[in-house]
Amino acid sequence: MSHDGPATPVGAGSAEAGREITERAAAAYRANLALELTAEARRLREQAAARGEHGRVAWASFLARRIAAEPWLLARVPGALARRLRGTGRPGRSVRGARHAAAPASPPGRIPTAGDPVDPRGLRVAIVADEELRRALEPACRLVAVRPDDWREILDRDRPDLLLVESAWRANRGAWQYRIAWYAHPLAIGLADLRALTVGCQERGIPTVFWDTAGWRGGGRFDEAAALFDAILTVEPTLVEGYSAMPGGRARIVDVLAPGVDAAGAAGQRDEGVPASGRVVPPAARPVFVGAFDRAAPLADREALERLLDAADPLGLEIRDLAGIGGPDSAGFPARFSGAIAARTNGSVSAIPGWLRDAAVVLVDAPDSGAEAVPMRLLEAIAAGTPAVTTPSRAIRSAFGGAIPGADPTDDPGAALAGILADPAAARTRIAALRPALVRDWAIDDRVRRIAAAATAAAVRSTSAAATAAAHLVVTGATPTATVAAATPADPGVVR
Amino acid sequence: MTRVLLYSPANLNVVDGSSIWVQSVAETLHVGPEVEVVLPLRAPVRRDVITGLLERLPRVELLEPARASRWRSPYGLGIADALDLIERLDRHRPFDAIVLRSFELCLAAVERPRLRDRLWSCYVLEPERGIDDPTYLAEMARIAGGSRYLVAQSEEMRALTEWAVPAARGRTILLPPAIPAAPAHRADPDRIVRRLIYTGKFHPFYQVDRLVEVFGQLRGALPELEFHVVGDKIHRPKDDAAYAPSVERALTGTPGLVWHGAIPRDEVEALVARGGVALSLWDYRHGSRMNDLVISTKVLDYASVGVPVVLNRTAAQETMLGADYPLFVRRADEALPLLRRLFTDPALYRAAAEATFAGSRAFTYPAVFGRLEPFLAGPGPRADAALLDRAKLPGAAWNVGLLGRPAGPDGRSAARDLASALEARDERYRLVAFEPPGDDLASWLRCVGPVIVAPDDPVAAEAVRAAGSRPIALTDPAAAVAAILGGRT
Repeated sequence: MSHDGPATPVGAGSAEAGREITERAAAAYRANLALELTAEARRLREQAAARGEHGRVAWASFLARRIAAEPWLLARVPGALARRLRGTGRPGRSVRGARHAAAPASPPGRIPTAGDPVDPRGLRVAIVADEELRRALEPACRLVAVRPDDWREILDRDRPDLLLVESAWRANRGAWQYRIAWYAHPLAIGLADLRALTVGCQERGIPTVFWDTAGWRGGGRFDEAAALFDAILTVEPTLVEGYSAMPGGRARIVDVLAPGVDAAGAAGQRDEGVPASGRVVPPAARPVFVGAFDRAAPLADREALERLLDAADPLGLEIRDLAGIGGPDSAGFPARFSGAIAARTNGSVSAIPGWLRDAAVVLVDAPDSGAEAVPMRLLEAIAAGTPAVTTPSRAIRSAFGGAIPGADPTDDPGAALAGILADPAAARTRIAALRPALVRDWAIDDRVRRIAAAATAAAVRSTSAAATAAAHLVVTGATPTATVAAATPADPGVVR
Repeated sequence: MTRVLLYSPANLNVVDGSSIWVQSVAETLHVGPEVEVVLPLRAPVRRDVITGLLERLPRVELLEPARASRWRSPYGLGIADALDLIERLDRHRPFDAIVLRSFELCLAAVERPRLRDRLWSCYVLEPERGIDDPTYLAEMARIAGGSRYLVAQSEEMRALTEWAVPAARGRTILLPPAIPAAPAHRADPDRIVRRLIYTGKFHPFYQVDRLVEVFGQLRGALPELEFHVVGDKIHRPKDDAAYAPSVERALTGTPGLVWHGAIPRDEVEALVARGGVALSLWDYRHGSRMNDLVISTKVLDYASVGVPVVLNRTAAQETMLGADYPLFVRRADEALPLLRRLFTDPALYRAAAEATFAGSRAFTYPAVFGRLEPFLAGPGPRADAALLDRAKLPGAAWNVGLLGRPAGPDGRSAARDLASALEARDERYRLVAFEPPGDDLASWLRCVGPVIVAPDDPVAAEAVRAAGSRPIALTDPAAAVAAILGGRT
């Protein structure tokens, strides 16, 4: 857990100075939001004009411009996160972002100005997630893990800015197993524990966000959980409509949020070539698959993964089986791959970055039966600087063109693997060329910022239309295709 | 001899899920050589599509509704008439078990003191009723309180029942629909037969109109393809007067579509066994999601003869066919490409056919009777153990249960040490405690694999074994770790 208590403000020598920096940081955050909204509004206007659409998108654009022009509208957002965005905090209490030692404030002596990159690392997030997402988020914000038996105490003590719950199978070392996904079991039916947590957050003014990272592989088993949250984000664009139309859902925000990685951190480790132990580990000249074999995946996806594994098997395939740790729980590799499964060792989740870094090539299982999400494992491989070969994926082709072999259904995975193993240096050079795109488009910091924006807007009561429109623009980023549930002319938002 | 009264307000002149259920339960009970079944009919026999099969069973006695003295209605027995008749029969010669189906009937039955403690109240959780309605739940609790057992169709429905009705916990048993031990005919999995098959009701939920469209689309490339449809019960939605005529037109006017109408279940079996691909695709705009929790009689009939079935992925159907069954779809749109491939891919056709047949074996009359028998034998250790014998949840094998106070006052500490030792070997392991009293032992045992119990508590150990778990005594932590890890390999 990354929560290590309040730290001394960077560059601050006194409480007064600390407060000043705090307020400046918050002002910068707010100004940056306004700038982003303005830019997005302009872009959407242009798109709407190009398409001849002057309805829904244009309305959202108008609302966003209103907020951009009059950021005080956000001052109506209740709760701790709103205070943080407003930069006011509680009396006598600093905004947490600037007090976090790990969060680099602006350079000493320089006041952040509008347009500066926003650093979300001060955000305090109550988290319910599987180990992989938790580890991905750790560098980007302050996480406080909550369990069914301790969340009351933690919420009251730590006052998190928001609650983030992943479409997790076990979550927080198994504390939420059978309590998020649907199972035919009284623990899961009705989701009493998760319901209590979300209600507890609502009572404390803490906005709640559900992030569906499972996409189609979730098989609808997270719908009931998602319905409990103020905002629903999903890595899978094609699921937005279903979540928006979900009966009984309370979410004001339903939007796309692609996965993200700590690209900078992973790059640093890779470039040094020396793991934390100090021992230089040469990359294994083997194709490595890290994950579980989802037996409930659509037939075409399972067959595609089997073809990839079959191609890798004669080349020294190594499987790091994550069944039972994260991912779908109808797991189990076909028997012919049992010899390739590495022995389980302690700390396997924490070892994932090392496995990816040391692999000659990472094999990626990309859902493609109607899915449009880019798999997290590919992003991690790119971040680690390791070449990857994937199962066919429209989403990967769209995001990375032809840079990832296997993404096109006509690609021969065996030939791709052989080519990489024959000239690993060239393959690593090619994958390194994707790093700028990774940093630009898939950074976990950005994802956290978007989660915060969604949480803020979703928490709004009286200004729902405005805040929803704002969050839509911030959350979707360069993908303004998602549903804006509340931002319609019929919504009685006060900004009109 | 065990005497069982079986009654459902189904009309056995109509072929649908309810009437087939009656036949299925009678056949299942009849497996027991010491079981005799008395089966009052709600309506007089007009045709023998169902009753003809039942009359072949020597220890099943069918009673025409005229046996009920107050019966007058042309629509058949009312609830009170049926219960009066059952009481009269019981006075004449008592039953060991009184198996009743439907919420209204069971609610009335628990008000009859004579019947209460022998009642098996079947399928009282009905999709049409609001599970969050306090009145309904209170009435469910009354049924649970007045019944010997509540009877659910599937593990999934049992979970829902026990969640909604605490009084049902620990007394809900399973009685799924069932099929003959061996089909009279079995489809040849190695011969692709270019036929689509649908049997059952015509209701928007089953989207037969969409299936006919899919058939039309397939026929472009497969002109010899046929679509065989069985059933005659066409739903007439109040808000869609065009539905029934539209279905009738499709059934009678589609080239290549053969509409058989209603035929007896054994003839359906013979028809399906000629091969082809059966369809069961649901449209949730016209039906409850609770359907996801039940075993479909229709699918079971298809599977019983081993034909491939294209169907929705649901919890109960995954349980039956396995999560990796190749022909699950999430939406009807996904069926078309799958069907195109299926008719040209012998390996896939065979794999699916073998999987459906294998999945159906747990639902044969003898298999189902075997799981039911302990309850027919009356209360006792066998019934208690059978109540704990439930399917484990995915991932349960890595959850180490801690039941009661194992190994004395230091047991908890020792158990935590054990958990740490296990986690050091494999991070998936974790400790799961159970805090009686009042909690639900049977449901809890579904979440755990090995269970640490006190060495001097043979009752707990026996319960753990009955649930399919391994009891572990914590007298020697190293040995316990080895036993748990060894159990996984």
